[in-house]
Amino acid sequence: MKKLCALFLALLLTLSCFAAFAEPLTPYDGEAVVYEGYTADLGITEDRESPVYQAYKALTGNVTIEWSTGPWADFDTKTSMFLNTGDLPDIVWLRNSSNVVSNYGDMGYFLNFMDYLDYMPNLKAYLEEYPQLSNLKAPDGALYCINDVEPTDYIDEGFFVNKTELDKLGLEVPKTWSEMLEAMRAYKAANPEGTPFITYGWGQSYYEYCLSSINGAHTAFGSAQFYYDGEKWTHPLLEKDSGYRELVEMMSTMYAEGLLHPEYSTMSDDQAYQIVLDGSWLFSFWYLNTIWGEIFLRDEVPYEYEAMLAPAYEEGDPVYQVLTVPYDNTPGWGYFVNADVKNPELICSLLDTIISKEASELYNWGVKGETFDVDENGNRYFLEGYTDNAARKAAGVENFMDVRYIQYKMRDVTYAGNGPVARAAYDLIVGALASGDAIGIRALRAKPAFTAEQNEIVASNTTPMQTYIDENIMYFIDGTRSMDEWDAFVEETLQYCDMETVLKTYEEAEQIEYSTERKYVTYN
Amino acid sequence: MNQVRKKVTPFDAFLVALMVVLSCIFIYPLLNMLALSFSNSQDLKSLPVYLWPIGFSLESYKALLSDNRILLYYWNTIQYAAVGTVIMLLCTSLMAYPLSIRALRGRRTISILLTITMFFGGGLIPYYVTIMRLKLIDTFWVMVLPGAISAYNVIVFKTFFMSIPEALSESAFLDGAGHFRVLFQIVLPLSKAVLATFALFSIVGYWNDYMTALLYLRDDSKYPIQLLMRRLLVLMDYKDATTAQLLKDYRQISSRTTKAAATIITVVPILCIYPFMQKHFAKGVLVGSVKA
Repeated sequence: MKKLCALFLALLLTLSCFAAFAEPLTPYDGEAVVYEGYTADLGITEDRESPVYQAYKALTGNVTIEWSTGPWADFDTKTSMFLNTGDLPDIVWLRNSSNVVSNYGDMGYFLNFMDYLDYMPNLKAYLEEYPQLSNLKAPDGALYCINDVEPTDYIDEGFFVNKTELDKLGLEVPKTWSEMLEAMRAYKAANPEGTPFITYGWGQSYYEYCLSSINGAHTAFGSAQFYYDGEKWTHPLLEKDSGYRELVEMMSTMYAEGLLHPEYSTMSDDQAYQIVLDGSWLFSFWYLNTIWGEIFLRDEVPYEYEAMLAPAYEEGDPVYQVLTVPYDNTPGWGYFVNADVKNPELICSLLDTIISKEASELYNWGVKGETFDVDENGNRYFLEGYTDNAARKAAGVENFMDVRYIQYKMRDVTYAGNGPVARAAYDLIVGALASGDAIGIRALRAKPAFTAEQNEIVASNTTPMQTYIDENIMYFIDGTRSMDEWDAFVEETLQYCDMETVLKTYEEAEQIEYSTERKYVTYN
Repeated sequence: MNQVRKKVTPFDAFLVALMVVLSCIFIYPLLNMLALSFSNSQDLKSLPVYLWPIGFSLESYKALLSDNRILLYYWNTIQYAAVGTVIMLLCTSLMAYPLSIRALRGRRTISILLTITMFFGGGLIPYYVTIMRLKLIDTFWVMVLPGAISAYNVIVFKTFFMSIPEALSESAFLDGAGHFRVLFQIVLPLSKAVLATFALFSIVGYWNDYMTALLYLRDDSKYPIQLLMRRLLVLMDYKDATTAQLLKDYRQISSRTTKAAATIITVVPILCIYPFMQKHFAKGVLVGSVKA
């Protein structure tokens, strides 16, 4: 009996050693394995015969994910159904990974990737190199999602000036807010039907977001949100130096003088685009390739326009720049795998391949020597015949499912696909950031990882307060309320919220610190 | 014999004018969509379109119809509408007929239970779990079976059946007919108005239904046309920064023309069916409004 037990234990020990030597299973050469996946429809028309997809198959082998897709607007409805019924497909793409983990992580729905790290060397390396990925771990250390890896700061938004109109006014590109204001006034006087400042039809919050880069006001994607000031958590309404009052005052002045479109907060993108098409604007804020790529559909723009840095609020103040996606942001979207999936080691190996640099290069650039090459500076460029988007798509570039949704991000491809003005804009902005002439707007800490109880405390207090803020900010901007009433507004707002309790909750919750180091990359 | 001409009163003129205005209001969106769908996106940019296309282009239709999913989704929708309608009419008739027989014991109780289901439901999650446990998820039958019986339809059918003279069925019983024979050979042939009306409602309902497909189907090859249209309408909607980053641009086709073309493609079949059903629809629209 004793011999039998010893033999059994020895066998167990031997078997456990094999796990330590586990390796990725891709490219998989066994019998075909197909996993069922669900994701949102993003317009991918995957061609599995294309050269790029064939090259991707060489990395993955005989294992595929058959994706079914749903309309973007109803995606949350469908995925909520999955989460609330536990009826998950093998793999599903979900938004708000941290919320999903905190609300559903302990329900046993999802595969814990930490148990299969030996099959995922890329993920293992990323977890060490990119600490923000660990922010998505559950309290017990489990990792239920695979997310985008953002190796550098991604900058893709900025101010633009209609140079043709500016030259007509005989003015220079403004360096301060007062110069910009004077230019807009001069433009309005000369062009009563024109719109001195325009951006997307994404409402008040986006206007706050882009204009906050003039005075560095503390907003979280364009609304008054709690922030960490280096010593404590606070709110823009509590701090006189948060810049929020000045931001609202700027917008109020602009609106009163007709420098903003009267329907700026409700207009559609089509209306905003029409203004750009007509050339009846002076300053604007867009994703860098929007004017040429989306509005003029890659046709020649009939007037001169160029990028400009955000003006400083006052002479001597810093120049700020919004960071579209900071590299150390906690990722949002992620792949989640059903805990009952067949061959979990294989799907983990497949996911590890999906987030590899090789797969990302295939997806974004294609096959080296066929669709792209690398110059002497190490920058990738598309070869002749593949400079056109349609030709690239036909070859399979940026046109297959697995890597479209979650990948190791290669932002140089965005740069390469942009028009000349967009590339010049990127060079200008990133050049300024890298040299220190501009400061990237970056919070010191993310919103803390609240427990369900803490979330409830914060939500019940801040929701009515935020509603009141949103309503009254519009009143200040359209002149219904005078800026002289700001202090009274702050007092009124604080009655809607037990600020002391909320701030205490923020301090006590698990903190997520952002890095003070930034990673700007130039591509020329 | 001389025909007496009805005098046209001012009220008649007002009614005609009102109907003309209402007709224009109803037809204008369709004509606008038609004009937009035939517009050239390069000329169009963000200009408004009214009743006439700006430029002329079939690019949007070509782009949509070259997608071979359209034909597959059309076929799926036709199947769901046809099979679903037949099942609905059959099941509703089979339930309404016994309830129309006064001699049926427990008729009142069954009617009350049926009416209760019109006011209370279990909610979406229990409904999904029920469908899941019946193993209907991602099958053809999930599109046609759950909607087979509607309490409202049963009540209307029952009311109509009760308006058919009992003497007809009694004489059939005397001649040796059973209930099934009476239902299929006497009652239903006399119920063409209500059958046609509810068939039309059912076809339109199945044609327009995308929520059932969205929630219960996963295999793309089973999707109905409305889900494709929903995808197209939403896919082209650059409403936020995240979407703008995620979506890819189309060189020749603007979102507006493609949305319009998709709308026209989806609506045309139903528009073609209505004229054929109009005769029955006019008779049947008041069905159920008179208590038997």
